[in-house]
Amino acid sequence: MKKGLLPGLAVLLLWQILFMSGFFSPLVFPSPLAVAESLYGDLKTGELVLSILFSLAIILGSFLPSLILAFFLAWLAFRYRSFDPWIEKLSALVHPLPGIALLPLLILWTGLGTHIIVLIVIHSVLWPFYINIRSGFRQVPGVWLDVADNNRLSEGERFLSLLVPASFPQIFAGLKIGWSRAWRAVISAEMIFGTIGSGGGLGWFIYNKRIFMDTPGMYGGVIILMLIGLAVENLLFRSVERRIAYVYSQS
Amino acid sequence: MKARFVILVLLSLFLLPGCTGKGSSEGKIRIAEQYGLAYAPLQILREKGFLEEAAEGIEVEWVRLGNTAAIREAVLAGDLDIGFMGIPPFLIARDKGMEWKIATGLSRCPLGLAVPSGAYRSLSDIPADARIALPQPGSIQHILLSMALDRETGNPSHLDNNLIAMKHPDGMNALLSGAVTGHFTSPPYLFLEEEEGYDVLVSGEEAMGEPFTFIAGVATERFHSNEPDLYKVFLSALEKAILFIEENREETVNILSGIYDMDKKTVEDYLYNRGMVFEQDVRGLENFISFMEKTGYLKQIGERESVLF
Amino acid sequence: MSILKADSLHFAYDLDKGNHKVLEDFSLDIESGEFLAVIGPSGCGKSTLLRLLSGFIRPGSGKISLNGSEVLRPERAGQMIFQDFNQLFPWLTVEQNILFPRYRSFFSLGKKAVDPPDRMRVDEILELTGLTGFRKYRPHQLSGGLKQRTALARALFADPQILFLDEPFGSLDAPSRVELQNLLLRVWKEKKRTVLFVTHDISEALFLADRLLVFESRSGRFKVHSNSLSRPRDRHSGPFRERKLELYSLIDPD
Repeated sequence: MKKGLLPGLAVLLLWQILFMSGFFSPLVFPSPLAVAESLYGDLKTGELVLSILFSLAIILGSFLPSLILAFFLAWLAFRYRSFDPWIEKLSALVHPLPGIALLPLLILWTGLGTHIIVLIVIHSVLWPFYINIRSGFRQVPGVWLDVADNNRLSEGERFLSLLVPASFPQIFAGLKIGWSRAWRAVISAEMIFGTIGSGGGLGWFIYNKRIFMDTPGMYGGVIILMLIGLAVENLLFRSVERRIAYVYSQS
Repeated sequence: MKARFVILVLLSLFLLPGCTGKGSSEGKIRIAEQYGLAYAPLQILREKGFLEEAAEGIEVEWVRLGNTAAIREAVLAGDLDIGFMGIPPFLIARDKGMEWKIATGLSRCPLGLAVPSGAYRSLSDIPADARIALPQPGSIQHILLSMALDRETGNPSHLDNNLIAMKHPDGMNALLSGAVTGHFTSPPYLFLEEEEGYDVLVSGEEAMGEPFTFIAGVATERFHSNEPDLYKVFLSALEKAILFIEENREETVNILSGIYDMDKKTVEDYLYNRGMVFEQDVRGLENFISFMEKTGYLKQIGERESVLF
Repeated sequence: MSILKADSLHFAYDLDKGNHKVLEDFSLDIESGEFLAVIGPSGCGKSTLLRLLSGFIRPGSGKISLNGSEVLRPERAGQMIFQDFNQLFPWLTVEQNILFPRYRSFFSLGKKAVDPPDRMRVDEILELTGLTGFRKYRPHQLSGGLKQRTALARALFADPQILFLDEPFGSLDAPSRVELQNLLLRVWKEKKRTVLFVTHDISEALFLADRLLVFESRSGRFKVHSNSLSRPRDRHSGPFRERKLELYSLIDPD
């Protein structure tokens, strides 16, 4: 923590010096103080917090159905080998599509609304989830499956008590990839597709700041964007990942 | 090591805008436009070469950008001298301290809120779950709708929770497919929607209460003071283009139908029979300023000197 | 009384070059409470035989029955213990691994309460296998010997009638191997279970088993030999060594 502080301060200092050099218009390059003030203001009105919660809620709301669907597909491919090549081809075909490219189609099929952003995020996380869960299921050691057979586990018990915990390292890796993809997808989708009055996420927050030329606010939004990405990655994922790698180290 | 690298990257990022920030060079004029019928005089100006004709050796650079925010950012980066846009987005930028002013009007045109035929008698009929598409918050369409709402319901942000930001063609598709119940837009989309049987519930002029300039030309103060001759040449060339539209219908229609990829009859109808007016006068500025100050879109515009050159 | 019975089993692997016959007209009767060891060189099919008898694979023809009923797939009453140290589940503690045959919902559905009688049985098994101090450990914290002890304990908790052991101590160092062999004998005596033990270590088989199923290289078939050495057995005694040499020449006549 202390180690990270120094470079952070150095960046702030450089920023301030650059600003005071007067080389840039404040509309292009506001002072750190102006950005901090604008951030404080947006926090106080609750606008920023609501935007963050909105984006995070969309991600959570997308993760759940994506996980369920990905688990189901992976189980199908694992249990009934004949499905595997089909799902494999489907994912190879659809996975590389940028979610944003689907926006017009999604609107045509399902109409307008926040669900469009949810669908785009689902698209962006479903396939990494599926690919990781499937590879997790495939890598379950044969000896564990033998132990399950030996003890006559039912299909449901085999799934819940063996396949899922056994592929936890891969599932978690999928969650991590999914998070970074979801975070990007939700922000870019919000920047393209927004409501005006209420219920916009962090992407819309930044876009709105752009429309109203609130440059310090824009910088503030981008900083928050970075901080949340960093925090989730480092505080949440990295520590859990380490723990999992340790416990599963024998396999 | 890692930290040093991060600082370096950040630094280079911050320096990037500085590298591209070039001032206007002598004898060169850089103009930004957007897409649509309301920009017709600019197409004529370019196709007929009026600028090149008026000032020998002049270098003209045309840039077409998707929205006003992009034009503002290009101006801030030092890449543009003159841009064309609606008055409200210009005012928002001026209020934030951008050093530019209105140089000329360009067009007046019918704007309006298109709704399914017979669906509503007035704005206050629009239900709470309705969805209305318009280009973006702070756009002229948004301000006009707020003005109409202020007049009719006393609350300018009455429908803000129902608004969805969409580009004109997307908004039209959404209206036609029933995904939205209203679309506040401008020609040719408004005309197309009317032809599809949609009603104009509120027109721009009704909202405003007077005729107003839809698209204005905005010049940077730097260009205005560094290139006074070029500035004048541009304004008179624009005047010539507007006059040309008035006097040479056939050639105008020929040129524009090629550019907009529309048949000549439609272009002629839209351009001459539907209330489009091309003029350099700037109208409705006071009204926009006072309404936008009242509703909080502008904060310190009054303390600045005139927004007109 | 016979507990496991194999009747004229045939089994062959389909290979590219044609069939590879492993068993031809193989029959075997295992008495309840018996300790039978299967020995032979690696690749002779002794592990395949064990997987056939335990129901993990099906014979081409012939019939296997456990307690009179035909074995069509692995039975809970016949618990397999593998050579692989990785047969424990890393997300469960030693105690939860042992409980797994009856309490599968650990980790996935939260802790289900363990019945008091089962609780007592677990304590007893932990005591018997010398794992009492390790009940809260996870597999990654255990040595190979402790892992195999846990696997044995897990199999015991399933309350099997027969234990199938597939070279369970093959990867252990010599001291822990001897320790585990003694433990297995203790468990066998105390629990009075039938044991079918696969190994390629002749002295291990001689030390443990009542009867030996020996893969004789000359005939290419498994044949039963008795082991009349009196218990407790001494690996360094003359008769033990003699018997060992005898068996060695059967397995590898050259």
